[in-house]
This record gives sequence, structure tokens and C-alpha cells, in this order.
Amino acid sequence: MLSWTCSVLRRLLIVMLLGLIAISVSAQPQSAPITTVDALLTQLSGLQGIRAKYVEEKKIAMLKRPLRSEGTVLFAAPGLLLRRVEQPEKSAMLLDGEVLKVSDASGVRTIELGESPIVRHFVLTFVYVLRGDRSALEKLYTLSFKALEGQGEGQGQAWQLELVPKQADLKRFVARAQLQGHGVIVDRMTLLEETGDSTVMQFSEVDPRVRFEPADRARLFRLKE
Amino acid sequence: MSREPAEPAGRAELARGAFSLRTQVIAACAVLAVCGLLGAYGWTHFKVTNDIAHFLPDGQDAVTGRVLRALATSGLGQRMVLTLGGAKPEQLRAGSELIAKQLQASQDISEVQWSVDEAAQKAIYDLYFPRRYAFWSEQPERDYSAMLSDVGLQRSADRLLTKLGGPEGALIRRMAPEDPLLAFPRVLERLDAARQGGLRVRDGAFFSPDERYAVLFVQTHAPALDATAQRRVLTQIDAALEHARAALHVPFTLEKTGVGRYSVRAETAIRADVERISTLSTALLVALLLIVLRSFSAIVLTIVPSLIGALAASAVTLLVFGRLHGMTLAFGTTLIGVCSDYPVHLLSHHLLGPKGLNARKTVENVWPALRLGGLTTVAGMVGLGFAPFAGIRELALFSSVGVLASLFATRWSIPWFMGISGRGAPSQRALATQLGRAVGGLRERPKLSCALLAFALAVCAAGAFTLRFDDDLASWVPAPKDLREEDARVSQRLLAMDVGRMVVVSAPTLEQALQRNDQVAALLTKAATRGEVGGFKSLHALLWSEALQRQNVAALRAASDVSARASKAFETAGFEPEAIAPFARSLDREIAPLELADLLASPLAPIAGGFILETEPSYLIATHLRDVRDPAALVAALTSIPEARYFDQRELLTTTYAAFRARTLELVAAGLLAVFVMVLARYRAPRKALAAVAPAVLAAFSALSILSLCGVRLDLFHALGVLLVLSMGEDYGVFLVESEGTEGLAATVLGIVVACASTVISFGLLAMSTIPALRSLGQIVSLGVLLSMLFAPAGLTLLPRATRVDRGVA
Repeated sequence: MLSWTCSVLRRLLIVMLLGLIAISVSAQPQSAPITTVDALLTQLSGLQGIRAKYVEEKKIAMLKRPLRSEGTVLFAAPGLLLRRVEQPEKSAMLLDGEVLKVSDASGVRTIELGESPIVRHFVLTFVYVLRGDRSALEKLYTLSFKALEGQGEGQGQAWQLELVPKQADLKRFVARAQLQGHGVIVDRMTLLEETGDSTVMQFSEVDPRVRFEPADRARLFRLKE
Repeated sequence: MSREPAEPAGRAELARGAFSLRTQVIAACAVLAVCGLLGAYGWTHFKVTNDIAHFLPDGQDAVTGRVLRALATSGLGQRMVLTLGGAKPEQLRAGSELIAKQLQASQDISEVQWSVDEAAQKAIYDLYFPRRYAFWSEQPERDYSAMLSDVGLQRSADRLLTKLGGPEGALIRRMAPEDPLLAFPRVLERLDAARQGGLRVRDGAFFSPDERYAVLFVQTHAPALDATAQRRVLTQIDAALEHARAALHVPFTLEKTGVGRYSVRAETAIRADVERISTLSTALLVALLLIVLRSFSAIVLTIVPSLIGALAASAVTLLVFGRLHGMTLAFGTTLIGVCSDYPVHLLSHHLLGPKGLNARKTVENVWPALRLGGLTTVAGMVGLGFAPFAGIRELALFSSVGVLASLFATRWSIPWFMGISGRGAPSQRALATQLGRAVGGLRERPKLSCALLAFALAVCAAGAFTLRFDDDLASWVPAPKDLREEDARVSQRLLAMDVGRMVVVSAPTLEQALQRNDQVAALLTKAATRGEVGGFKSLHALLWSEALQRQNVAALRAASDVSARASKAFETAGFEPEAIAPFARSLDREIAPLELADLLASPLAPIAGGFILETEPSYLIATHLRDVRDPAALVAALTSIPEARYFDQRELLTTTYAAFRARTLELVAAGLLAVFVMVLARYRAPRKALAAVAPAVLAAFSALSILSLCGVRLDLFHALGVLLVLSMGEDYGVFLVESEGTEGLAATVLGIVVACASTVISFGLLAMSTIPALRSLGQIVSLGVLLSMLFAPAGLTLLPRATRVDRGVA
């Protein structure tokens, strides 16, 4: 049977989904202090929905200046994620299960994430993080958690979680992903590529207590506003 | 008929009348030798085909025949689609993998596809990335000039910038230096668009769009019609399912599509029918012949001529045509089987004839009737020999040779073993006398005969208004409702292409065929936009004609100073000065067009090859369609493309068989005229000729009418059955007319009754078959032959009144 993606596309998706994962874990209800990765994952598993704003900066070798974009992200458990870019040009990306839809000035494209086991792992990573499945995460990554001194912008213990891919395929793409946050809120996600390019997403106005009812999901989680 | 007085059956007479043992042995050896020679030729040259093209009109549409043939022989029929449900997606994936691995080990299965093929992914990159500019546009002159203008390049730079900042940025970033115009993503998008709708991939495995079913594709080695092999495959699938259920402790459900399932079900039904019918039929026939002929050897003698006829027919047909069509073999042997009437007629006269005569004498007496009966049967099929269908001509030759061989075998092979005449038991003679008197009684009541014939005419007239034929192939074979519903459910889940609906282009060269295929793809894209078709799958998604690829490359090369202008445009947009240097270098590289051979040598071969129906003597390329909402509009649009045509396999087969059925009936009618002329030439009396032929005609069409009036859906097999009824009915008429006014009438009537009874038993049981085709044949023949037997004596009314003779047997 024909598969319609190439390995390069697969790698793109990995990078992209790392971003999604970071976004999705960027805001959680606050409760007990987070001093270990287990504590973090346990609290993230209670996630119901998130709304946040973000600013992203990509440093790409072939460009004279970094690319900057900003917009909003919405997440609804267990697997709906929408990233809407407001600046510099409007676009949107919707993840629903294993289907990723992208809408921009050139139209709407659907990407089947399941076509690659590697991409599939990343989707599962997202799920594993949300449900606090450490053993599953550790099959794919080396996890490195560090409780930082002091607190973040709001309340809660500041922390840093670093994901380093174990698999060679992933390593060829992603050197490491670094998540920084406080409590159950991720403030910043940094993605470093083997090529030296990097992506930094900074989150703000995070609302970790959103509950999306079915009507909200139908209304909000779509590509067109 | 002879009117010689009966001779006493003394020892001397017996010795004089019977053939010696030596003569019988020599004759038996001769018969066996003939059978052996014919059988040996048939065995060594035996070749059966089921090529539907044999039943297409000659030369009218060669492509149609080739397409139908290609569809029948292509791997499409060997493909099964399995959907695994009843569990969560993760469980379905695991179950799908287990089932696939188990089936992959089967000797009967050539391929199982259940997941994304990594090799195919790499093949796409290797084949298309170097040729991305050859697959840029279907209208290259227009699109390249726009894209490579200063404004176009600026737009490309802006678009790339947007993409780099978007979710696909990491992918784009990797290829952007060499492909800043994003030609390769465009190719991928086109490939992806061609796949959308029917299948989803989850964790590498194929799923239905709603992810409720895992999907597997199974390709069998054996053809779909090989029921034995297909049964093994189905058993293996069931075993694999059970294995997955047990291993994963999940109550999976599995549904499937595939022609092979119908073959297995049909074969099971046919085997059950044949076993039941043939057992019962054989028992009843043996009992009947034993009661009437009172001898096992006589039963054997009734079979020998038909056997020789079938062997001779096979040998001659193989000699002339080089092969036998399945339908010729099935129907022709059935028709030759009715030639057992000849030995029955001969034996009946021999048993009830004057005592102590050599069988030669009996043969001399009945030969004129047998000869006329046999020759009229052959004459009835002469018309078929001029049919514009190769299949009908083959059938005509097979049947004619078979009937003639049976006739001459009756004349020359069995008399040696018949002993002396007049050995009929008193009960046989009493029965024959009663039957003879019944016929004589009817003969003497012309009003009753006329009323019977008038009633037959009225039935024919009434039936003429309701006569409707159903030529849908699907109604001929068992298509169980549960299988059809399962098919529909699986197809619905996958938004599968419609079976047998396609556009086919033909051309003498591959390049011409690909060019036409390009045109078809463009046309279907518009048709899909207008909603005339729901979707299509085309080779065009994978391969363009060399001309179109070269036009793309030429349009790229035609633009002046592209690399310098592109560098400037991209730098202006914010790119580093050397960012797209690899692009400039790539422009100078030679771009070899992608060829079909490249695809066929790659992991994409199974997909690409599925569109190529034939390559000799010309190329036929198919595009499969889904949900054709406006066939007429599509047909009209396709007239703009040379040698492109729309096919609906089912409709085509229905039309083909309707034409075949109609032409068969026309030729049977023409054959009837020939029969009448022949009988007229023999009797030189129109009323006598009419008396011999008309009852059979009335019987055949009365049978059709009665079935029609009873609400039976008539089909091709009813039409073919008419030929059988006429063949046997004419014999009855001829035998009676020949015997009219002679002492042999009683023996003739007994022979007719026995022949009719055996036919009604055989075909009557067939009429109870669960196989529609067999049922149709059984219905028309059993009813038609029964009516022939009833009408034939009534037909004697048309003769001038003869001198009354004793109708009994001494």
C-alpha cells in the first residue's frame, strides 16, 4: 500500500508535535508542590483543558532574522489541540487524535500522523505526558527533571524537564526539548535541532481551568474562526 | 416402417438373428478404439477458457472484449479486503498485525498489506524529489511563466517564509535550500489527495476513516473462481482471526469483500445441488429404464452414443478453435445428452418389434426417423453457425458434431450388442399398446387435438405480452444476501471505488496511452468538482506522460536567468544570500522523465501495475471511479479524448448477454425455418412437415409463456433451453409422423414416453436447484419437453386421415 509521506515529512511532524506537547503541558491546575517528575506527571494527568497565548521565535540558519509569530493555543483532553497563529499571518493547526490539519493561505492540508511509527510515538508522548505515564515516556526519551530554586511567575515550584530522544531517528531531528514551568504551568519550551536551528515558545495568560463542553469543542476546535 | 410379420423365435432363428460373440468383441473394440482416440485427442489438447470476449459481437468492439477479459483475469478478483472491528483501535492494530503475520505464512496468499510500507515512502522520495520540476504543473507553460516571473519568485519567497514559520517549518527547512519553490511538497500533496477518503493510517496500520476498523488487503495466488483454493484462504482467515482472538483475548469481528467468497458459496451450493440432484436423478432414471427396458446392458447402450458424441464434439471443437469455452462444454454436453433419445427409440422398437430379427433389421426400420430427427436437430443449429458471436459459433459446431456423432454411433455402434428383436416382456407390450391406443384415440378425436393446439396457441399469445428477460449476470449465480450486505458494509467503511466502473484509454504506444490518461485525469477532476463523480483513482497520480513531464522541464529551462532572479527575490524577502544556492545548482541537472518501468521496478509497482490492464497488442489504462452520478455526462465528455471510454462492467455484461440471448433466439428461429424446409423436403407434404415441427415450436414457446405468466424471471438459460426443447420436441414429432399408420407406432410412443420421462426427471430435478442458471434450464426443458410429448400426438391431427391400423403390439 502506498504511503504518502516521506521521511522528511515525518521528521517535521516530530518537531511540530514536540511543540504541541510543550503547549499542552503548559498549564495545569495547581496543587501539591512539584519536586519530582512523578509529581509533575501526576498533576498533569488531571488536565481537562487549557487556553493560553504564546510567542514563538525560530532561529533558522538560512534566514537573516529570526521568525517571530504569536497566537493562541487551546487544548481539550484527551486529544484535541488547536494552535492559532495571529501574527504575522493567520494560520491554524488542529490535532485531533492522529489527524493533523493545517490551514494557511495556501489552503487546508490533512496529515495522517499514523503513517510513521516515529510520529506516532510523539503523539503517544503527548498522551503519556497527560496521563503521567512515566514508563511509556522513558521508552522514548531520557527524562531529566530539575526543581529550580524559587517560584515562577505565579505560584508553584519552578521546574525544568528535559527530553532527550533515545531513538536514532529522533536524534537525527531533535537534539533535545526543554520545558520550563512552575506548578503545572509550562512557561517556556525550547527545541534544539541537530542543525543548530532552534525554536522557543513563551506562554502567557495561561488558563489551566478551562473545561470544554461538547458544544465548545465543536465551536472552538476548528480551523476556521 | 416395416410391416413384416413376426417370426417365431426358434433356436435357428436366434442363431441367425444375433451377432456372434466374436463380432460383438470386434465391435466393442472398435467402439472403445473410437472413444479412446477421441478421448486421447481431447485429453492431450484439452484447454478450457471462460473468456467473456467469446460472447461479444465480432469486431464490433475489440477494446470492450479486452477490457472485460482483463478484468476477468486481472488480480482484481483475487483481492480481498478485510475489516477487523469490535475493539479499541490499539487492540485492532495488534489484531490486524497478528492476522497479517499468520496469513503471510500461507502458501495460498501472495501478499497481505495491513500497514504503511516504509519502502514505498522511500521510493516516493527517490523517484519524485529529483523529478519534482517535471511534475510541477498539468499546464506547465502557463504556470511556469507565472511562477518564474519576478513577481512569482517574490511570492515563492514569501510563501517559503510563511511555511518556515508554520507547523511544517522543520520539514520545509530541510529541503528549502534545494527546493525553495516548494515543488516537492506540491507533488506530495497531489499524491496525498489521490489517496484521501478511503483509508486512514494509525500507528502505521491501515484503518477505516472512522478508526472503528483495522483494514487488511489480501491477495490470493489462485484466481477468484478457483473455489477450492479460495475455500482454503477463507479457512485460513478464520483461523487467523481465532488466533488473534485467543492471543489478545479480544472478541474481534471480521468482515470481508472479495469475489472468491461468492465462488466458494456457489461451488458449495452447486456441489450440494449436483450431489442431491444427480443421485436422485440417476436412481430414478435407472429405475425407469429398468422398468421399461428390463436390462442393465440396455441402459449402458443408451449412454454410449451420447458419450461418443461428447468426445467427438470436444475433439473437433478443440481442433477447430484450439480450446473449449466453459459455456460450450456445459451447454453443449447437455444438448448432446438428449441424444440418448436415439438409442431409447431404437431399443424400444427392437424390444417390441417382430421376434427373432437381427438388430440390423430394426435399424433399417427406424433409421429414417432417427436420421431425420438428428439432422433436423443439426439443421436447427446451423443458423447459430452464422452468429456474429464466436461463442455461439463454437456452441453450434460442438453441438452439431456431437449430435451427428451420437446419431451415427446409434446407427453403427450399439446394434451389435442389442441381441435379437422382439424380446419385450408382456408388460412392456401392454404398456406400449396402451400408449399407442391413447395416441390413436387422440388421433381419432381431431376436435380434442385442435383444442389442445389452440390452447397452446392461446398460452403463447398470452405469454407474448408478459415475456421479459432479465439479463443481469448477478441473477444467474447465487449471490447470497448476507454476502452482498457484507460487501456493502465493507465498501461503505472504506469509501471504496465502485467495482467494475472505470474509464479506460487505449493506444498503440504507452506514451500515447499516458497522454490520454493525463487528459482523462484532467477531465475527471473537473467532473468531480461538478459532482458528476464521487472520486477516482488514476495512474496519473503516480505517472504523467513523458510529453507532459518534458513540457514541464522545458518550461523551467525556458525561463531566463532564474537562479539570479530567485536569489535576489529570496534575499529581498529576508533570506541569507547563499540560502538557496543549492537550488541554482539543481537547475542545471539533467531531469530524466519518470517512466512506467521505473515505477514497476519500485515498491510502488503493485499500485502502478493495477491501472495497466493490458500492454499487447495495445496499451489499456484504467481509471477507477466511485459514485458515478451522471454516467451520460461522463460518456459525453469523454468523446473529446480519443479512445477513451466509460465502462460499467455489470451494465456491459448485462447488455452483452442480452444481445447474446436475443441473437440466440433469432438464430433458433432461423434454424426452425431450415428444419421445416428439411422436413418438407423429406415428406414433400406441408401438412406432414407441419405436424412434425409445429408441436415442438408450440411446446417451447408455451413453456416460456407459462413460466412468464407464473412470474418467473426469464434469462439467457431459458433461451438456451428453448433450443433443447426444440431439438427433442422435433424428434418426437418426426418419430410420430414416421410411425403414423404403422405397427411401430406403439413402440415409438413408448420410446418417446421413456425419453420424455427421463428428460423430465433429469431437468425437473434441476429445476429445484438453488443455482438460478441451473434452475432456469431445468424449468424450461422439463416443462417444454413434457408439453412436446403432449402436443406431438395432437400434431398428427394435421395429417390427412390414414387407414386405421391396430395401434397395439402383437
